[in-house]
Order: sequence, then C-alpha cells, then structure tokens
Amino acid sequence: MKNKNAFWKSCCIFALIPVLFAGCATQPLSPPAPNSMAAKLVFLAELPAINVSDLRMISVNNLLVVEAEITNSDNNYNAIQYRFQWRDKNGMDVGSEENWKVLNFSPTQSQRIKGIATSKYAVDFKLELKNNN
Amino acid sequence: MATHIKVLGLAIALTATLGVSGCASNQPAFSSGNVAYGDTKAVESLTNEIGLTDFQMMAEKMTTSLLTSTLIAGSRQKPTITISDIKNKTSEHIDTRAIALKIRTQLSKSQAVRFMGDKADETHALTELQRQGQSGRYKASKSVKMGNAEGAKYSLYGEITSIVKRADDIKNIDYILNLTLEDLDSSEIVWTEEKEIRKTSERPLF
Repeated sequence: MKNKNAFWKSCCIFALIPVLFAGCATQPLSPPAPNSMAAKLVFLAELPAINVSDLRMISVNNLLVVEAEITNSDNNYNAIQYRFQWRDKNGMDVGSEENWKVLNFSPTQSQRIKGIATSKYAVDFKLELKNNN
Repeated sequence: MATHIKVLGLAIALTATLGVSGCASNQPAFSSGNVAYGDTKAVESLTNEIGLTDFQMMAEKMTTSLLTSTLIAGSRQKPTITISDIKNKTSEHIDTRAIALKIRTQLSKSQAVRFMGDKADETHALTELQRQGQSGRYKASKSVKMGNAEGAKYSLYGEITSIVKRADDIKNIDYILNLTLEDLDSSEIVWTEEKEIRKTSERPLF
C-alpha cells in the first residue's frame, strides 16, 4: 500500500514538471513598429559591439538610396558583413540579390555605408548584418 | 507495483520504437556526402586571386554609380549603350567580358538604360540574319531585314589593373577597375567610375 502511494506521488510530480517549466516561459516581445530603425535591421548573429546609430533613406533618379551609420563600440579591431535587401510595395524582393560585403572597423570607429536599389520598384529595405566568419 | 512498472516500461519502449521508425526514410540516396552547394553571394576568400565576390562588388559599384548619375537623371529617353571592351592589364587571366556582362545584366534589370548588341553579340545576330535571309525557309515579310539595327549613343569601356607587392610572407594585391562611358557623337566622357579592391594574404608558417 505504501509502495503504491509512493508510485502515484512520483507520477504526480513528473506530471507537474512540464507545467512548472511552462510557467517559466517568457512572453514573446512585441514586433518593432514597421517604420522604426529596428524593423529595418536584421542581425543574423549577435554583434554586441556593433551599433547602427543612424539610418536615412532618400530617392535619387527614382531609386531608393539608404545610408547607415555603424559604430564599433569595442576597443579592438572588428569586422562584420552586411548587405541590403530591397522590397516592393507588396513586400516582395526586387532586383538582384546583393552579395555580402565586409566592413572593417578600427577600435571605436564609426563608418557610413550606402545601399542603392537597382530597381525603381523598391520602396522598402532590410539591412542584414552578421559576423565576418 | 511490479505490474505498473512493467506496463510503464513497455509503453516507453513502444513509444521509442514508433518515434525512431518515424524518422526512417525510404528515399534513395542522391548524394555521396562529398558535394555541397554553397552560397554564391557569400564572401569568398580562398585565395587572393580575383574571384566571383570581386566581380560582384565591381558590378554592383558600377551599376549603382551609373544609375544615380546625372546622365540617367537628365535623359528624357533611356540612354542606349553598347559594351566595347574591358582590357585586362593585370598579370592574371581574367575574363573581363564576364565582368561586363554582369554589369549589363544588372543595368538591364533596372530598366533605366537600353543596351545595344556589342561585337560578340553582332556575330550571333549576323549568323541568324543570314540564316533567315538566305536559307529560303522563311517568308520575306516575316523575317528580319538587314539595315534596321539601331546604333548605341554611348560606348562603355575600361580596364582592370593590378598592383602586386610582396614583403616577407605577406602578399598584397590591389585591383582597380576603371570604366568610362563615352558619347559616340560628341566623344564627351559623360560618366566614369572606379572600384578598388585590396586583397592581402599571409603565407602560413607550416
């Protein structure tokens, strides 16, 4: 009888474990506003020393031109890779897929990068950033 | 108690068996495991010789520069361009036509300019015209006639040069691609751009 009770107690404890873990799960963060800077940036790796401090968008010859200021806050040399993705008014990719470009930083250096859409149908963009590995 | 444990053990064993069998695939093997597809847009730096990444960077710089130039902004009609020649002045074998075609493809996709056939394209065009005109197979009214081609107003040409330097185990190569767009009527240089790429490599100690 004692053994039977112990068995059912252990069954209850195992059943409760997933419930306890589910309680620890964090709520998902709300997505950034569509036109905010965060919505335009896609970090494909953790880049703790890299900050995008400014992002500007203008039209030249009906083509979207984007300029971004990127800062290496580290006291060491750093290198990242980046590329732009261009989207039309329906959110579809337009133009040729860009190749990745390497951006080298000196300690605490800020650099400006420029991206130009090669299709007049591009009205929006994403800036992808990742490690230089 | 022993019965409960037996039942539990059987249930676990049954679940595990079903799970593993679900993963099994009956598809035939199409890969030896030695071949993999790579990302052609990734930065490739296997050697310091010129490669696809360099071609892509050159083409992108030239295309975006030309598309945002005053030539495109000031034209009521799309400018007509033909590719003349990109001279290879490096010590490497470089297929400069591949660079030219990359630039032409990107510019054509932008729909901001019109490209007329270059010397290489003309060979194909003339062969096809002769086939249509002389084989006797085609109706005269439905075949392409000689003498209707439109000449380009602008000629795109340039050169690629390299500077190689070595010091101890370090080798440095600077590539410079310079392109020019010339108005064939007036011989005015209406656009010019250059792209510099530096590649440095170090010989391993062992």
